[in-house]
Amino acid sequence: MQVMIETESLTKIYYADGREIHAVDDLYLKVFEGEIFGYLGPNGSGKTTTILMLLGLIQPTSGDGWVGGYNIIRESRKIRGIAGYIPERYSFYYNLSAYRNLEYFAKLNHLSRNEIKERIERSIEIVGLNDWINTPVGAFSRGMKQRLALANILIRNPKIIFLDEPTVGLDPKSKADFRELIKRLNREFNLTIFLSSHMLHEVKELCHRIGFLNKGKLIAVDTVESFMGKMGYKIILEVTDLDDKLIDALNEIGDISKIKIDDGRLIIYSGRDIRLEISRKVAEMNRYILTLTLEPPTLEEIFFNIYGE
Amino acid sequence: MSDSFIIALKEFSDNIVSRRFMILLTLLSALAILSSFAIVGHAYQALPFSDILVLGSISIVRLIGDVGPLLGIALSFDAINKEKETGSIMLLLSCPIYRDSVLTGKFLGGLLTISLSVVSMIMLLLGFTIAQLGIMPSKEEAIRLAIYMVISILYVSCYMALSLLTSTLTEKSSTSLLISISIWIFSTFLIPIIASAMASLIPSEQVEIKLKTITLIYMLSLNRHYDTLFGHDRDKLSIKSNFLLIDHLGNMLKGSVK
Repeated sequence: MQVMIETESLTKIYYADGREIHAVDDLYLKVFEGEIFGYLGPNGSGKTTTILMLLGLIQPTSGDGWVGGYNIIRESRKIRGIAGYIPERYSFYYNLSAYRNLEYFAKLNHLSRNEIKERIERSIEIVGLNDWINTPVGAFSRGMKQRLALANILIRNPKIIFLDEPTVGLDPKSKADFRELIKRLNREFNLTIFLSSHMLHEVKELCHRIGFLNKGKLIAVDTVESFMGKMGYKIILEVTDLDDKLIDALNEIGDISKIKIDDGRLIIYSGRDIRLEISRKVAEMNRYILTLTLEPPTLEEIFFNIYGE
Repeated sequence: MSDSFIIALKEFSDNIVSRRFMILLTLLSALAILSSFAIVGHAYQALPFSDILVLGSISIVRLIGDVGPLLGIALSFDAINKEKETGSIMLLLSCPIYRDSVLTGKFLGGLLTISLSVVSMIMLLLGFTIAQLGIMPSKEEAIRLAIYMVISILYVSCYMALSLLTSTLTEKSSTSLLISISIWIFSTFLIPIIASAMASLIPSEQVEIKLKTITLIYMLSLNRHYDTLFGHDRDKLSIKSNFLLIDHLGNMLKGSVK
């Protein structure tokens, strides 16, 4: 599979109040063609800084990187010719219609007059804004603006799309529609998508692989399934007379990495399936099992396991 | 079409429909019409036609010299930081363009708008004056007026460029406006006061030093350069006016070196 994004020791250091802030620290990353890559991390972890460096909009302090085979320092203009970007916070020109906005950006993407008309119509069709093409963008809802931003990217026939927290501020339906649109673009056009987010369910639903970023450092990269496998088993136990004695007894089983109480239930994380041992211990303690289920860990749990509570 | 030109055309079309431009243009046009009436009151002096630019209490030279910078400031004090504030700059910069194309485009868009405004104002003044006096400028005078227009456009554009700079360097458009207005006030109103104050500190018998001091301080004021070209020394407003700016600056420099 062709590598679409590659970084080597990419680092960005800011200086504030005499302190060095490592926004991105020694980043080694590979994203492949046709992949939806989730870039996860808490606020301020360096997600946006990474994207801006990959687009050549800010210069790295050290290290290097390539997007679509172009160098991020020397060929950033070429990168912006093959890459689309939807920032977390952006605005179209609200006094202009959707068509005029797209036309303006299409001209700045060096498209010919015929190409502009054809591509705007096609992009607007894909994102489903046909009925709003002549409406001023000021009248658009956040969800519509987000779809328009996607249309704005599609007019340049990109190979890769960078999305920075794309569903923040959207209502649940708009979020679902937008996610569906992303999946469709990836499926139908084989677009590589670099999705920065802190919304775990979104990343889980969309991404083939995810990378966890913390304080500028990439601490883990793998598929969602693999992360879940590494977390082991999650067993939910509901018993009568839940107390510390029972928890102490369960801890004697071994292979248990963590036990926590959640809403009157015990959540037990273990490296193997220990339901049989649990039921024996509960019986020895003269308690009754109300429910005993095995569930895969959620991405939230993986997140907290990686970053700590 | 170059990126700068695409941006310039959009800026120009945005500017000419903006409320702030409409208000300023209406105000300046009204003043130009008033100026033409003031000129008619001086018509008995039978001066060259091009002197209608400097006649009257609200001459067009005084008008553009003092109030014209406001037009330049109004057009670009938020040219960049407004795009930063709204976030449209990110969409703009994510296009395959150079950053300086954005600045050049903004400047050219403003220049087109200023050209339209200055030419409109002067044409309005000429139209009303010709209608009232019934005299037409000669060919030579028409060329002199054209040169005057070009220099006036450049003069207002200097303030626009300055405003564009403050807009690029500051985060908020309110800060940029404040800085630009301060520079305009300093250049137009404070420098003459400072020059007089400094001159008053020098003993009256040292006339030459006094003059040099005033000249040096006046050099800081763009407004005074413009005024000197067209207002103080009216005889110089001839067909050779296009060389006057260089002569004028050269004289100033000579004065300061001596």
